[in-house]
Amino acid sequence: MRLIERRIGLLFAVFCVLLAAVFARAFWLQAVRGGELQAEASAQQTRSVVVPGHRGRILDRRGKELAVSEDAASVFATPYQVKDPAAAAAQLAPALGVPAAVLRQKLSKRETGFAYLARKVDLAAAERVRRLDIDGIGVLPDSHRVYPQGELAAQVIGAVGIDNQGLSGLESGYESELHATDGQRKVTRDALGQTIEAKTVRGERTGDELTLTLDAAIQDRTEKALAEIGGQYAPAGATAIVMDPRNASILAMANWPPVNPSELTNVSQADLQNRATGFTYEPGSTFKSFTVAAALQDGIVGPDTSFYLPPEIKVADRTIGEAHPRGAESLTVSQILAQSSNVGAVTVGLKLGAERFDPWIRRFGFGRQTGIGFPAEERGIVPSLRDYSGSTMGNLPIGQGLSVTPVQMAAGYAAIANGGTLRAPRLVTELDDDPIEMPRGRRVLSTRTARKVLTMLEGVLAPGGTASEVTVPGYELAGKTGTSEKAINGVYSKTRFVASFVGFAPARKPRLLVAIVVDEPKGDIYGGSVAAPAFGEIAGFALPYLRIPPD
Amino acid sequence: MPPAAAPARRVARPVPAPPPRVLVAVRELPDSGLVVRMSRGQLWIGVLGALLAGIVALNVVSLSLGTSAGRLSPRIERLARENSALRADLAQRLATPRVQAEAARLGLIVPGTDEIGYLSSRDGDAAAAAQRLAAGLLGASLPAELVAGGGSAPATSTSAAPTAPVAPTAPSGGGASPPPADGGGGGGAGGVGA
Repeated sequence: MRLIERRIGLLFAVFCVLLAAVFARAFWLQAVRGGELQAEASAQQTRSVVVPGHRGRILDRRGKELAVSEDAASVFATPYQVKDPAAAAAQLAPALGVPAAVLRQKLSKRETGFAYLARKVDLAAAERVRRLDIDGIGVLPDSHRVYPQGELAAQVIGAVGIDNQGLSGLESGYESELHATDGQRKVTRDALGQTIEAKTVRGERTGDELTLTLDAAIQDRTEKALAEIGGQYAPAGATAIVMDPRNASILAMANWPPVNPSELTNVSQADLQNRATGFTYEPGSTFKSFTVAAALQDGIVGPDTSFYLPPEIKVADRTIGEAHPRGAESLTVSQILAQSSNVGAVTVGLKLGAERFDPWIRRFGFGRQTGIGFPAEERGIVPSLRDYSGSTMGNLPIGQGLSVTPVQMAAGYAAIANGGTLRAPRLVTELDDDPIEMPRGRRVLSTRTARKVLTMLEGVLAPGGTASEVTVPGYELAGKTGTSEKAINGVYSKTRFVASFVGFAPARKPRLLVAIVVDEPKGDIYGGSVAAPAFGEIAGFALPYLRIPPD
Repeated sequence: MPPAAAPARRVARPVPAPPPRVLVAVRELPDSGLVVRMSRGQLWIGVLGALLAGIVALNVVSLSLGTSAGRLSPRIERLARENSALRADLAQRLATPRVQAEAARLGLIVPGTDEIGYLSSRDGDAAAAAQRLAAGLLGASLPAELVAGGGSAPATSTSAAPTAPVAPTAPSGGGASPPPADGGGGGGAGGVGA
């Protein structure tokens, strides 16, 4: 009996020792070496995977995609881990389409811990690299921006950089909305490398979607019209804006020369600029409409008020003549506008007076940003009343001595076309399906005055007007031509001009406004012959396309 | 006679306190008839075995689900990538310049503004249209290929007389028109033209 008890005691003691050993080992592994072993296991079994978030899409008003993001990959190297740089470069070169010499150079920098071999390669190329299974070569998920419409509205949409950040245009202006956030996933693998668990550490966030007021079809036709101007007159640049004057929604905003947003390496800053908001110029005769509108609204003149106009008019030390010399004659205000008389417009301006004229320039929105929300929008230059010289009122009424942007002119003319309300032009209509509230307009003219100016502007496209050659069959048109000399180093050039035209259709109840500005056309210089025909072409397409019936 | 011995004093012995009820219950547990019956029964072994097997099975199922989810995860990612590439490809194929170039190649043209007529709607037109639509008569006057192709005539292409005067067709080419009667450039001080 005692022997049995002794054996049981011995067995108990052995078990106690074994248990103590197990506990000691467990303590050693979990408490003493726990952190180290956990890190090693984690490195072997789990992997952190970046899930790239996609930048928000940019759509036209009919939902056509103007900019989208697509999955891509970037191939990188850890040079000191690459055993044979020359062999690796030779293997990678055909897969990546990069010269082997370039890759070898990058891989040979052994002191470097990280080097990109190719950015934003397509997924098929990335898969080819993965299959090569070269030590020290890895693939990172990425995304790249695609512009499905090619060059369409390239300067307006803008471009993104290598890290998907907006560099210009709306891509830059709406960076915070379009920007995406990458996600992170933790993947656990078994000994065979098979995924046994995938946990989302941080979900990826797609950028907000931007819906524009632009219409791809009208934009395309507008760009074609500018391309014809470009081909015929080889200007330094040209821009056109197509707008619905009722709500100042921009249906097209085109620039010439065109640029390819996917290939910006050799594009100059000037060509990348959206001239509609960034180009400043002296508007010339297109400004006369505002002079006349101001005088009409203040009751200084009426459409039929007649002035006896000499061939030239002297204001302080300046003598202003007509574009085409003529003898002294009497012209009504309507005729002054239709024939674009410099002497007549200055006479109306002088009758209005500097103190009354100056606030009118600002009331129409000149000298400040229109509120379109486009990055780097220019304000133009409008002299303050205290800076007026004796001859200023000989310049301003005919659109000299101040600079404006094409979009300011379009907005000002839209106010005339819609019955007198100045509205901020609209380029973005929805942000992630949430409609952006249309800014309230500001009445600058009475409906009656706006109607009178509009009627007068019909004369510009009527026989005897400065754009009488332009027609759109079935429609009455209105508009104003402009040809201004460029000021170079403070002197008006006799060889460099800006030709422009702003037109509406249908004339009595405008639903379409087109503004065209051509910088330094060659061969011909006049707004009526260089810019106005493009209005006819654009309106001839857009009116039936938008199902706008004639008056 | 010796005096009678005094009766022996009875010493009161302390009574031990009864053990706590829980202890009593624990002590008596092995003798409980129920426990005895259960521990003697072979069924108990089966129950314990089944529970252990259940725990193992649960773990296996959980691991198996994790593995299949892990296998699906890259597939989902791949499909999402393919989807994004296909969407970009579709957008490129439907790009306006490409569609218009293709339409031009097929000989399609945009009708001139004088080739399009507009009808003024009157009271009752909408109701009449709805009735015709319900009766399947709306497409009756359309060309067969449009009806067969599921297309519809553009609203602006009705054949009624135009409500606006129609001017002779004049192609409005960009910049091809002759110079206007009036031109600029010669104003006295930096002339501004029309």
